[in-house]
Amino acid sequence: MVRRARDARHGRLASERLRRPPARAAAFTLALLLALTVQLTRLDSSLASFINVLAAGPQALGAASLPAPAGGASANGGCAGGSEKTNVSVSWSASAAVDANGNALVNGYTVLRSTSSGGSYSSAGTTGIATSFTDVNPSGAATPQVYVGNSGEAAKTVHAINTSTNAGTSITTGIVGSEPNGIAVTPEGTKLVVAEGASHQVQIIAAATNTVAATVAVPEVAGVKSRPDAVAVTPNGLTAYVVDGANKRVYPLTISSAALGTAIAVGAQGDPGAILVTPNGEKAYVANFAAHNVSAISTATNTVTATVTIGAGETGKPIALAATPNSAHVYVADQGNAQIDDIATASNTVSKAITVGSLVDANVAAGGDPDILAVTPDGSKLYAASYTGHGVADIATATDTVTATVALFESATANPNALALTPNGCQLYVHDHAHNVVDVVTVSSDAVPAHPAVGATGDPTGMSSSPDSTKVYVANQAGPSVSVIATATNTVSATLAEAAVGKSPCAVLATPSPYFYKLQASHGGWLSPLTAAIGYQLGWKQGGWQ
Amino acid sequence: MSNRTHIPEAPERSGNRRKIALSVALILGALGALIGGAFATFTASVQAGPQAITSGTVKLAVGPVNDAATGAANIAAGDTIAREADLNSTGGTIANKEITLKFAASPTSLLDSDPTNGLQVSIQACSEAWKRTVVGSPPPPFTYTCTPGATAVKINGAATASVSALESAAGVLTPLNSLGAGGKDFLVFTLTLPAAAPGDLGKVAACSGSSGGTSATEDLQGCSSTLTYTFQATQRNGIEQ
Repeated sequence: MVRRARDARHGRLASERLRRPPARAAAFTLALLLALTVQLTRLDSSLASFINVLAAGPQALGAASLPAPAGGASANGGCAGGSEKTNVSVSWSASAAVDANGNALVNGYTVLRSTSSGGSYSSAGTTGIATSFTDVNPSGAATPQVYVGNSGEAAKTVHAINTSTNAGTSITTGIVGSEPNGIAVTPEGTKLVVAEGASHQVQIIAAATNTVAATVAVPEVAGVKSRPDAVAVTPNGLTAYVVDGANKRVYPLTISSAALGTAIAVGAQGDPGAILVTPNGEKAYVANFAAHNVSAISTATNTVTATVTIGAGETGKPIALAATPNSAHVYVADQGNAQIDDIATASNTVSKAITVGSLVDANVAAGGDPDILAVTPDGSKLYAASYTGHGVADIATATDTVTATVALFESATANPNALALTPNGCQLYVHDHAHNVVDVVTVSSDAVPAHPAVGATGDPTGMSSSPDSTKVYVANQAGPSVSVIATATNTVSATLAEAAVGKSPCAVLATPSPYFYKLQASHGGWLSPLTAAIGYQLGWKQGGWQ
Repeated sequence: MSNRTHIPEAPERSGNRRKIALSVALILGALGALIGGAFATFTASVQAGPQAITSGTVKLAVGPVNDAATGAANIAAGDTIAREADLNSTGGTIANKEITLKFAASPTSLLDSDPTNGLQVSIQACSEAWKRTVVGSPPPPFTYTCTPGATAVKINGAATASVSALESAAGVLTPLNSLGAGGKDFLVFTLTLPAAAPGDLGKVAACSGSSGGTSATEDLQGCSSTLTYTFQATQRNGIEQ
């Protein structure tokens, strides 16, 4: 029974075993796959793809940074295209840098123009690699005005003439005496500073409104009342230097605030007259007529840094000044010795005295302010009017020698006593006091092609060219009138009457038509920083009346 | 005393035990393979062979010409910087599946980081050595000419790629002779600063602004980057040998 029972159990177990093999096979297969997976994983990790990595370089790469053009300068564009045109030439230095391909890094320049230094600039033109550009007959500036000083009348006025319409506006200035004595304009033509000797004051006129914006009293010294005789403005337009001829002083005047600075003593025996500020703005020179010297003032410190003796043995009578555009030379008209002294501004010494004819000017005796020196815009020539020498000396500034004496219309008897250069440097206008004519001199040849008649005998000599060189205005005190000479034809195109110019026009001064330029270098679409503004003030003169 | 009666096992039962034993042996074998020789066992073995098996080598080198270390200064918009850097797998015994190029920059600047306005790279291949002409004095720049005619090597299938993109991810270069063992490629890598790359120092400070900007917002002038070229060759896929 037991065996049967076992057999029976065995048979049951056997039958169960017969049913169980598939499960065991699965387990077996699973174990096998597990082992295989482990093996393959191990194999994969130990046998990753063969790779090889290598580096090349390093390669240092630097992008260019375009340099702004350097050494920018503006100059008159010359007489090409007609003397009536005033072109502006702008030049600068080339960059020596090359780009990554070995070519010139800068391959173009853009010249941008504005009519105010802080205004909006737009392209006036482009160049390739050329480093100069001529802005032909630029336009867009405000219509310049010509200011006419009236003297010797009860009503002291400055008249402002619109050069486009010839309409005049009267501006009352001063209160007594023969004034105004001097007037200067800021480089951008926005303000005029008028020295009024008999009124012991300076007035600032706003050109935009032709009204007196400020009146500044010049103090008396030890009981001696001041006599503002002359004024000059710095090229940055910030400061006017006012000469007090009575007290031998020069005052810096801050134009914006109308604040008079500390007095600068000049001269020794009084009567400082003409004053100029060098074009670079670094120095002011004052002609001390009776002191026989010229004072050099540092505009940085407002102190006299040198006193330059004119003539020997107190013979010098410095009466007029003119500076070269590069500020290297200041020429002094020595009325006492009939010579022109060349002051080297670097050393403040007279480097040469140039003999010319008599520089005596009939207007000096009447308290005028003759302007008998004129330097061409390119600085190559100095013209000096020789009153009793009956001519105008053409002096080469390179050698300080008289290269020619201009033969005026009435060459034997002419009394040239005032000069006016057109801003384009093409023509020189010479007032012949004896014959009531204005001789026209072609600067390039010193020829005199015309001599239009103006005014009457005894007229003062104020003359001034319009900024665009198209007109020359001549003050005829005896008229009273102002003659307008068209420079294209050298004929009198208009005579402005008393209503427009006042009762006693003695001097004229045209406001500038300033143009300002900025430069930008380019390489394709890349642009350098803009340069600082380069100004070209057509017709601007730092001195007083012309 | 009990009288135990031997009952022979059924044949099926005996087979199952053998299977279980075999499974255990296999598992142990697998584990043994995993464990390696740590647990030696008494075995009897026979040998077949010997069968010499050696692994191949993937070898990639730069040369014979390598101008990639020659930098460039005063790069301006529109400028190109061409440098020859040859590749070869001389000495390699395994063909390559791919060869990639990746850039790294240190220092970095908009030159390399701006994908739009920054440097773009293209590659030309010549079937023989390039003729190099030194243009600059002192060099660079160089110019290269290929007498048989140059062909383009594509980067990720495109003719050009930005350096910025190849800083982020390597690009596959095709076609290359160096994919084959012992192959050589005479390559000229040309970096181009797009002509439209903005630069107006009157408006934006040098090397500043946001990538992809305009002359009013970005300026690539004055930027400096130093690039390292990294080539990587990867062996071909496994094959049955």
